[in-house]
This record gives sequence, C-alpha cells and structure tokens, in this order.
Amino acid sequence: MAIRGELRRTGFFGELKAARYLKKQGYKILERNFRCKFGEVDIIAQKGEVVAFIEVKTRSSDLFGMPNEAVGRDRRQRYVNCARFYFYGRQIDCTVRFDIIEVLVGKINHIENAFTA
Amino acid sequence: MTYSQSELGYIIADSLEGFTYKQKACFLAAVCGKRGEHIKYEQILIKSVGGGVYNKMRALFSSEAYRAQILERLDARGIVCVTPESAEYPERLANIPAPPHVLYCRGRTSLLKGECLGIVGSRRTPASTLAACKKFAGEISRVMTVVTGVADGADSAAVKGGLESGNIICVLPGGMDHIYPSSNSSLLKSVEERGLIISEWQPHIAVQRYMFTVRNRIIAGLSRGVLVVSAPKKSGALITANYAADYGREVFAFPHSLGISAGEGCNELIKNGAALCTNPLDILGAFGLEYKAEQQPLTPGERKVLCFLKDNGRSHVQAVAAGVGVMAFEAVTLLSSLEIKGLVARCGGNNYEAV
Amino acid sequence: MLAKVTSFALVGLDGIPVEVEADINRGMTSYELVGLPDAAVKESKERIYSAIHNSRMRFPVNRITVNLAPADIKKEGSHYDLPIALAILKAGEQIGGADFGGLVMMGELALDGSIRPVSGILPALISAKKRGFTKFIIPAKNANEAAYIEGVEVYALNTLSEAVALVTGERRFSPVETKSFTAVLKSSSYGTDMALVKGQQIAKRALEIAVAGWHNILLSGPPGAGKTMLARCIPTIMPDLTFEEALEVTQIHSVAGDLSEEGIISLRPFRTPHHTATTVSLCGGGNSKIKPGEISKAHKGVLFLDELPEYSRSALEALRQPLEDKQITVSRAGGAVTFPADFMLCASMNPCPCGNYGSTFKECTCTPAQIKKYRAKISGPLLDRIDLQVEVDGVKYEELASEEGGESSAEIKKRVEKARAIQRERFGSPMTNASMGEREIKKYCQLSPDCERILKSAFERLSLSARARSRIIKVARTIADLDYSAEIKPQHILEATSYRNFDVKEQ
Repeated sequence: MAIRGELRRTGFFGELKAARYLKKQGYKILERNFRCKFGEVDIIAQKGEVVAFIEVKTRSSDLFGMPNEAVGRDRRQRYVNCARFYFYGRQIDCTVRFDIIEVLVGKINHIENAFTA
Repeated sequence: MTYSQSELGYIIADSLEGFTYKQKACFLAAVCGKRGEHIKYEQILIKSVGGGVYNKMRALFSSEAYRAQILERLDARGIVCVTPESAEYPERLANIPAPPHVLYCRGRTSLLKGECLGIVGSRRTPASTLAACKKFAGEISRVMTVVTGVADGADSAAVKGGLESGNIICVLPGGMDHIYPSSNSSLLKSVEERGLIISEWQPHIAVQRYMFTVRNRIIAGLSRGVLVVSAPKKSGALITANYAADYGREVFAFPHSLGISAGEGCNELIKNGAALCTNPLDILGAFGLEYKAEQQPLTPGERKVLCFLKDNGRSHVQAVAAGVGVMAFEAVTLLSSLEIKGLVARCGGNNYEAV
Repeated sequence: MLAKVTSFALVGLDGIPVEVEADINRGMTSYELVGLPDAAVKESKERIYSAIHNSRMRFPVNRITVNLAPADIKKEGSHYDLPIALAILKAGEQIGGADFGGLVMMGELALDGSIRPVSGILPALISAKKRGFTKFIIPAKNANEAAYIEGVEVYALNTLSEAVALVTGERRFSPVETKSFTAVLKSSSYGTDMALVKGQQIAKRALEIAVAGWHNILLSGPPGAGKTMLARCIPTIMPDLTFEEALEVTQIHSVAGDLSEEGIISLRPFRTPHHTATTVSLCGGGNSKIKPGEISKAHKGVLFLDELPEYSRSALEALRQPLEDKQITVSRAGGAVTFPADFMLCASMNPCPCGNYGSTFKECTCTPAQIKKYRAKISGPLLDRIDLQVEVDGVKYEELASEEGGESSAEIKKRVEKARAIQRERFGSPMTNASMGEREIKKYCQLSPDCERILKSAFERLSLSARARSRIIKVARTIADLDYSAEIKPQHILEATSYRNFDVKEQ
C-alpha cells in the first residue's frame, strides 16, 4: 500500500525534519527508509553504543490525537522484526532502542525507548 | 417350623392376595368349615368376588407348591405364625369381634399367653411423662407383659422400660419388612431378641394409614388393661382406649396439668371413668397382682433435691440450687445422680421434674 | 552486569530464601522476568519502572533479565518489587557501591516510589532468622510486626530512595526497636466479661470446664438465649497467650494479611465464620497462594460456629481431621501446605427447628421427626469430638433486669490456669485432657469401683451411646482437676454425665 500525493509529501517532510534534528543531537544516520521483507524503518541512527530504530510520525494537527498514539502493536512488532533482520549476521555489540519522533506542525518531540522488544 | 393342618389352613388363607379380612374369614369357613355350613359361605364368597376368582383361589389354596413357597418365605424371615388354632393364641384376643387370623411373630411367643398391659401414648409426649412411662413400663414388666406400638415418644419409652425384663410385645402396624418409623429399627431388634414383635400382616405388606387403627384393636385385645400415658384430643392412643373400653378392659390414664395439649385426652378419659393412675401399684392392684418396689438408697442431698422437685414441680437447675442451698454445679451433680436412679427426668432447657 | 539480592518466599508458614538476580546486557531493549512468577510478580515491572523514575533515578535502557531462584518454587505476592528494583539499579550500575550481603528485603512499591506494606513479614522474618539472616529491609508499615523479634537488625523504610540510601551507605538509619510482649498483653482487653452474662450458671460452669480441659463445646438453646454472648466470653477465661503462642498466631494472621496496627496478636482469636462458609474458607486454600482458613486463624483461640446445623455438611466434616490433629494440611496441585489449627470449637444451635424445645414459657411446635431430622444434620463423628453439650436457658425479662451477674472472668481464669497447671504437670507437656487418647485415659483416669458402677448405671439408664464413655471420663478428669482432686470421684462422673445432652435425648 503505497501512500501517494499530499499525505506522502507530509510524511516525507516530517522524516526530513527528524533526520535533521537527530544530526543536530549528535546522531549518525545509518539508514533512511530501510526496507526489508518485514516492513520499513523510517530512520536507523547511532549515537555512541546505542542504535535507535526510529519511527517518525508527522501530523499537521493534533485533532486526531498525538502522533505517537498512532503506533500500535503491529507497528511495534514490525520494528522489532526489522531490527532482528537488520542485525541478522552482525554482532550486536550495542544497545538497541526503539524511539518515536513526533513531528507536529514543525515541533519535534523525541521519545526515547518508546517501546521494548 | 411345622404347623398342624388347621393352622396351615389359616396361614395359607391369610396369604391369599386380594381378599379382605371378611372374605378371608368366609373363605376359611367355606374351605375347612363345618360340613353343613360351607356351601352357604361358598355362595356368599362367589357372590362378592365371582366364581372364577373363587375357584382360582381354591386351586391355589390346595396347591402344595404354593404352600411350600409361603412357608419357606416365612421361615426364611424367622417368622413364627400363631393362629386361632394354635396353643399360644391368647384367649382374650380370640374373644374380640374381629380377631386376627394369623399373628406373625418374631421372638418369645410364650409372652402371648401372659397377663398383658397395653401402654399407649402420643408421639409428642413431654419429657417428664416419657420418663414416667419408661419407669412404669419397667416396673410393671416385671410382673406383667407390656404391649405397645413402635412409634416415637410414649411407645418407644414403654419399649425401653419393658426391655429391662424382656416382657414386652410390640405390635407392628404393617408387615415385618416395613418398620415404621425406620429410626426405631434398632430398638425393635432388641425387642425381637428379648421380647416379642407381632403383626397381623404378611411380612411384605407396607404400612398404610388405616392399619394403625386396626393395629390398635390388637393392643387392646391382647391386654387386660390399657394405660394411656398421654393423648391429645384426637389421637391413636384414644382410639386404643376406646377399643379397650369396648372389649371390657380396664383403662388407666396419667393425669396431666391443664394446658398441656398432650394431656387433654387423658384428662377426658379420667373424667369419663378411666382409672387415674399415679403409681404402678394402681395398675397391679386392679388386677390383684403384687409387686415390691425396690427402694434405692438416697444421700441426704439427693433426698432434699427430690423433695424440692416434688414440692415445686418442674424446676430449673438454678431454682433447685437456690432452693436446696447448694452451688448450681453441685445441684447438677445431684440431679444427674437422681436421673441415673430414674427418679427425676430432664425436660429440656436445664429443667428437671420428679417422676 | 549482574546483581543479586535476597528475598523470601512463603510456603505456608515456612520461608524459603529467594535469590533475586538481575542481569543487564547490551542488545535489544527488553525486560524478562523468569523463575515461576505469578501474576502479581509479573506485573511488578510497571510498578518498578515508575517507582524508579519517580525516585529520580533511571530505569536502564537495555536488555534486562530478572531471575527468581530457586526456579522451581512458585513466587507469589507483591513483596518482590523492592528487591527486584534494587537488583536492577545495582545491575544498571546506578548504585554501584551498594552492598546487599546478608540483607533480606521485602516490600511492594507504589508508583511514586514509596514502599507499601505486605503480608507474611513475620513468618518470613522468623524463618530467615533461623537460617542465619540478621539484616532486613521491610516496609515501614510492617515495623510493628518485626518489633517483637530479638537478635535481628530490621530497617523499616518508607521509600525506595531510603532503601537506596541505606544500601549505598549514604544515610544511616536506626533499626526498629524491640518491644516487650508483656506490655502489650497488659494493655489489651477483650471488651467483654463473664460478669456481664446474667444467670446461665450451668452454661458458665460448662464453659469453665471446656476451657480448663480444652474441650470442644456445643451450646444449645432457644433464640436470644445469649449463646453468642457466652461464646464471646470464652477467650476472657482462657489463660493469656504466651509469647511463643502469640508469635505462632501472629504468623498465621500475617500470612492471611489481616494483622492490625498492633503488629502482634496478644489476644486469643475469636473467629465466627458465617454459616455460608465454604470448606475452603474454613480450612484454607486458594488458587495460587494457599492461605490459612478460619480454623487456622482461630489457632490457640475459639472457633465459634453459630447455628451449627446450618453449615454445609461438607464444611463440617472437613473439621473432623483438624480437630484430631490440631493442624491442617491443605493439598493443591501446586503443593501441600500445613497450617497449625489448634482451636477450641464452640458451636451453638437451637434445640429444634422452632427453637422452643424445652423452653419454660413457649411451647415447641415441632414433631419428634422434625427434631430428629434437625439434629441429624450434625453427623455422629463430629458430635463425637464435642465433649460437652450444654443447654443454655432462655432468659426472662426479670433476669435481664436483675443486677446479679456472678463471677468475673478473672476469677474463673485463675481456676482455669490452676487446672491447666495440673494437666501440664501430669502430661509433662502442654497437652490437655481433651487430647487424651485411650492409652492416657487408662493411665491417668483410673476409676474407682464406685465410679465404674455409676458410669455403668448411667449408660443403662440414660441410654448413652458407647462412644460417650471416653468423653465423659475425659470431662470428669477435667472437673476433678478443677476440684484439685487427684482421683476422679463419683460426683465428677455425675456432673460430667449431665453435660451429655444429645446422647441422652430419646434417640
């Protein structure tokens, strides 16, 4: 299911903003839109020994609730699976964390360790 | 058990299903009666039950196999039959209007011939009366045989009293296989061993309501006199007393205080001429019998308590203690000693009464 | 890094040390709790997470594994929160200098980081002390429970931060002060007294005998006769609990989680389960955690069953074995647990369905069959274990209004204590007359020919059941003890027979 048009543009814009924010925070972006057969990870970034798998949620208004509320159980499981896939064959010598970045009308809210495996 | 031909006639005739008491009597007269009369009874019977039934019964009556079966059934249960033809059949019973054809007995059949006193009473009898009943039954049974039913209350008390000497006859309302009430079966077991239980019904016949009244005529019929220990206005005990009066037996009754429903019938009987009875000697004296009451030694304390109870009637332990001037638990000790000696009765709620 | 803390698991009243191990590794952030935890323990994660955060510390972001060893005992209850939290903090190297050596911790965490009280502190403490542990951290609200145990160092703390400060040595706390039991004993009272019961001298005497010999008793009497009032007075004439007994009783109540502020139970328990009580609620049980039932809670005290025939048959039959053994073993799929249950049974009932049988001023409207049926609800074997059966009188208005009350509980208690002392001397143990077996009866209850004769004629006259014999002798022994008489005299036998109401009744 591909998202097209206006919505896709909003999302893309949000991810861009998030990546910029992360860089400012001293993260090194490892992957953007990492795709595998389990799904897609918006951003994989590293800071020190922490590798963060980040879901970016962009909303143009909070009329429908805060963005992080839109990350349901399936989405979390998808991220965990993607992370497993990402580290398949590599040595995990780092802490793997799952974050959510909310981008709401230009404001950024970074929730570290939003969920666990 | 072997029976004579005429006894057998009664036993087999009684075992025929479907005949009433009168029809059985007719049948007997028709089958083994006097030569001149049996045609007449045959006619009556054929008229009431029909020729087919009569002939069938007659065939059954003479069938050896049927006779053997009936006798075996009785022997298996250890039942001895006493018929008007038997030596044990009491003369007194034979003289009542409708004497039972067969008495199915278990126990000492010799008791039937003795001097009997019927003791009857209500199931709901006050505890003190029960104790008195037991005491009377115990003392009288040393000289006479006590005849009673098997119900709870007064009957059971009389049975317990009578068991002391074993001179006790229990008349069952139904067949021997059906003990009613069933809770008394253990009591009946001991009566069977030491005394006698009788029934006019074949063992397998279950108790029905009307049988109680019918049974009461046997109690009255067997006895020289009937003692009514308690009886409400309408009760089986009164029916027995009426039978007794009809048969010309002596009727004795315990007096009761006013307001006790279980005593109304007794007081009524006394009013109508029954002998008021307060002592076993009252009864024995009426029949010209002797009995020596044994005196039990009493301690001074016991004597005082007994006097107090005799003066004050039913009293609470604390009242006794206060009256005699001892502690409550000492009074309990004295009362319990008197109770064991059979001189006082416990009547519930820590109340005691002299017997 | 790996951190280890000691806590305790309770199996019945027996404590078993549990090692709480926390290990933090790099890897995918996760939290695993293993070692047979039950639901309450599993939920601990959320409480611990919030408590740590609200105590101004960080819940480590990493792969966390918590193990409760030994792994084959089921871990129940919420008291693992505190040890798990501290183990996680230490493993996460936030309280690196902490020293857990020889320290036992128990406590539930609230979301704000405070420590909540838990049940079962006392038995855990006692068994931990037996195993050589001497230093404890427990919730502040459980402090009173621990205050009566000597030779241990107990810290009763309010919050997780305090616990952290204690283990890291940042702050010094003073251990809970030991209290003296006698002081508590003196200050406690039952709030009722035998002197308040009017009349009823027979019943009072029977209760005195029952307590002196630890016999079970059945009070029968019309409604409103004061059966419950009498029963409530039973503890007041019992000898005071000794400290050891009090600890035993308190342990049971601690496991059941119904201890009051006092911390120790200094009064003899008086339990009155309602007649709808089930077998489990009487005897103990439960799905996961086996809790003591009413009979164990009545340990060393009185179990009062009001309206005995109304109880379900199965519940009553279940009492038979504990009445003999003075303890109950509750077996469930999860294991068997033994609780002490040395209680005195006091039961009450109406003499008949309408309640007026034997009453002086009201007529009974029941037929003998009804009465028989009513009484048959109590099985013979149970009745066999009730040595005394007494009638309680219906009270008239004049008696209620009268001033005369009789002896006070204290006076009766003195006699009871003396009778108990005689029994202790005789048996050389805390055994009582009621628990005598055939062998002891033969040894200690020699009957003179006079007594034999009386007993024999009592059996014949009153048609007592054969089973009543040993009970009458036992009760007579107690009456003799109350009389300071070495041998059983005829009057003792006579009095004993008078307390056998139900055997005497016309069948």
